[in-house]
Amino acid sequence: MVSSEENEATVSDGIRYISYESESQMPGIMKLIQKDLSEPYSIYTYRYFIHNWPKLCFLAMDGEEMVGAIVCKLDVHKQVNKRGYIAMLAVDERHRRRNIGSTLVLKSIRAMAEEDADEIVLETEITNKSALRLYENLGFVRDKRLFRYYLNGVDALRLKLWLK
Amino acid sequence: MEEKETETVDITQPFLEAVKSLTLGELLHDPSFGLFEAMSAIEMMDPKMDAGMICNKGKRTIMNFDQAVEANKLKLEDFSMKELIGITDTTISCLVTWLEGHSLAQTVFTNLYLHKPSAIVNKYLKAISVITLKQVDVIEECVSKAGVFEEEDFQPSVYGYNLAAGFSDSKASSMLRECEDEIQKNEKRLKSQRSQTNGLEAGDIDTNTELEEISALLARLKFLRNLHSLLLHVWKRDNLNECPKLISVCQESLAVMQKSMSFGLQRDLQDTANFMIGFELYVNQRLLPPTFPRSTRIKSVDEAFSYMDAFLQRTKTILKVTTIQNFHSILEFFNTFSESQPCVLSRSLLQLLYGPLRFKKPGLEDMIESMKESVKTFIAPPVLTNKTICSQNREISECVEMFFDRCANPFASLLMTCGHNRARQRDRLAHMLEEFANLQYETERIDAYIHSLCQVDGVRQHGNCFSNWILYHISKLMIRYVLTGFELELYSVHEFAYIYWYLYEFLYGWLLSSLSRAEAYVAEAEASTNCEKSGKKASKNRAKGNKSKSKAYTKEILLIQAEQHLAGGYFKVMMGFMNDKRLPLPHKEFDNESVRYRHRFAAFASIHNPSPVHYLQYKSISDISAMQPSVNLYVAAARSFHQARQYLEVIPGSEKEVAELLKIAKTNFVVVKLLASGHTKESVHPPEFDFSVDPHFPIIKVK
Repeated sequence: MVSSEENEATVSDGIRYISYESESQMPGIMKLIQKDLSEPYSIYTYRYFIHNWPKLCFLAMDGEEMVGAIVCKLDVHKQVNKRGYIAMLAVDERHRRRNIGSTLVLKSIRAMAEEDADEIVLETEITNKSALRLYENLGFVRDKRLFRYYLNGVDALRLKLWLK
Repeated sequence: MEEKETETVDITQPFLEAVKSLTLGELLHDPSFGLFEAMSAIEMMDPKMDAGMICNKGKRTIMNFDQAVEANKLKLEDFSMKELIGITDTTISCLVTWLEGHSLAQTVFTNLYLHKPSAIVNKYLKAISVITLKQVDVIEECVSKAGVFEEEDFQPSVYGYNLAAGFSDSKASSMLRECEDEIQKNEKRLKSQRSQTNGLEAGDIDTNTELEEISALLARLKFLRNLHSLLLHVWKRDNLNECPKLISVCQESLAVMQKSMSFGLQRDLQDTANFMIGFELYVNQRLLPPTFPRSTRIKSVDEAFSYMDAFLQRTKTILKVTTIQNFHSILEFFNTFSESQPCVLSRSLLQLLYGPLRFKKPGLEDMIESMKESVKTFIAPPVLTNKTICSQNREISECVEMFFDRCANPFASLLMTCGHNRARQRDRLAHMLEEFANLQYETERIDAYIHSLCQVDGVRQHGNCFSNWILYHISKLMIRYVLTGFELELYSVHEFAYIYWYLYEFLYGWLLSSLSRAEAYVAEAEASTNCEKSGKKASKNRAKGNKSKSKAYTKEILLIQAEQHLAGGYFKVMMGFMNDKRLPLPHKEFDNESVRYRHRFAAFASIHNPSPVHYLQYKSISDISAMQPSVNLYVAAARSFHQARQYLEVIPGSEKEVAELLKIAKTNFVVVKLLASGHTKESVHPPEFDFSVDPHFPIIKVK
């Protein structure tokens, strides 16, 4: 269960952090995330995650403008592990370096930890230094290297945060 | 296909009516529509997702071979030298791009000539096309059969294309040879013409160019033919002694090719429609799976030739495996070769040359024989050195056979593991450790049984000879598992302390103790053989024998000791950095070193001897260090680096590996000395670790 605290919006540095509420936010989320990605996602991908785990989707708002979003899932992996997965994270270019990404990740880790996650994983390109820095600062380590993982042929790293 | 009469109905209105019953955010889907389906679903006609859309871009129609010939867009004869060279070079570039993990559809088969080589009128181009298809065929067979590739390494699908099945290998080869002969005749004729005119006539420059073009094409034909034949020899594992010659012919031809790249027609990289004569980059677009369009950039000719150059060098190296007798040397060979991160084709060829798990000559039986020899020199078990023991007691000899039979599979799988790409190897090593843990368990029982059977007067104790040999390999595997983490850049700097500590305090120690136990067994064996003889002569021999035997060991032991002390140095210096708060540490909230430690060494959990070292043991050591002044830690680190240096300096010979480690030990010694003197103590820059000299042992840099 997600505690009532998590559901409430928090404000930090003028940015309001809210949970996903409804489909009406979907176009905003897609617009934000699509800009950053090397691979396109179909709308089904967004719906798969957000409809199944709406409580693991958080948004960062600057007034009425959506400036950051994180999309996660949490399910049982290989019948032993409760694995959280950060599927997407994006922060609007004009609002970077304000800790919005880290705050979103921390919020989602807390939500997943509360639901008894054993570990949290994600994949990122080895060349994406800022993402690596962000996650590693939060205690994620590189669990695996994935050769030529992306469409563009770049290696990826599987990052992992072990909670248990 | 039979066309059915269809009626198109506009469903827009009924659809919009129907969805009114859904509330906002409600999604109607099949229960089996999971992540995989969601991720691979595409939005039709979105050019970013729909691979088929590329064909609809622009007004250009994409034509296949027949269509292009019909439309007079693809000529089949009257090629200039320039064109032939350009087509050949681009074809080789496509082949190399395929070998780097792309699909044949988007590489080699973008060359329309390869779709119907028998229809080509020009005999040079026909031969080039046929031999290319033959190469694709044999490469596909080699890589598939060797089975050391993953989806990211190699795509075997030939999409139903005919790989010149109508031409035998020898036919293909003779087609090229004919062309070569013809060209050579031409060359001679031109040369003699030139020497006859022997002046600065107007035609001279033209003749020169023509001659150069001719030898450029000749080199390409030679290269293709010899490369094909080289691959065939390895594939058939037959007449391998021909291979070095073939390699050097390929190398010579390649050198000419590299110098004559500019003679060929150059690709138009801006205009995909006119990429190169005979090529249609999108001809197979509809054959691709209906997922996102994978981008395939065909390698440049320069890159492709460099790849071939390196590939030939690698093939030269792997052929050496056929001459190695000692099993430890074979293991070492596989490991060292894999460390150089070779391409999937050369990795596969090595498996074909020595893959006892699946191939005969050498098969498992041969491998077992060389294993026995290696165990004998490693630890001299009485059951192997003293033939009478086994001949007198059948039960003992059966036990020995059983042991080696049991070992064969894990060791052969280990060789196969070395064939995979480095990233996958780490996972596989973890599985190997499980397999070796089981083997170890059984070996201990076999040892105990043999030991009890050998309790005969005048016979040396068997003890745990075989287990010790297994322990040696397990320790090596564990070290390799940890070290590959550095190579793949998996460890964060704040983890270095416990990683190097584990190496320093345990892994290298276990390896060394297995080696010294083996040495003791060997010495004992020699002593007992000498006892049987008598007189001064024998004792003289013994001293001599010991010296030569231990030489091979000594080098290995010295190197391990050096690495052990390097690891010790890093551990201590990391402790110093932590004391000085110079390492960036993760955010407190979810930071848990003990959990991280447990997962990092989880692969060792299956091994009971030596049993995994608990985090608390590390914690108590690091707590003690934390109470010391950092200066002491830096001084201790300096001592470790110095010791490492001393071990390295006495290693005979001048191998590159030793020289590099020596450089690292010396540099780090200086750096930690500076740190001990308080240098850069107030620095705000975190220390840097430069792995460019060695992938496992970095040079420390402080600012």
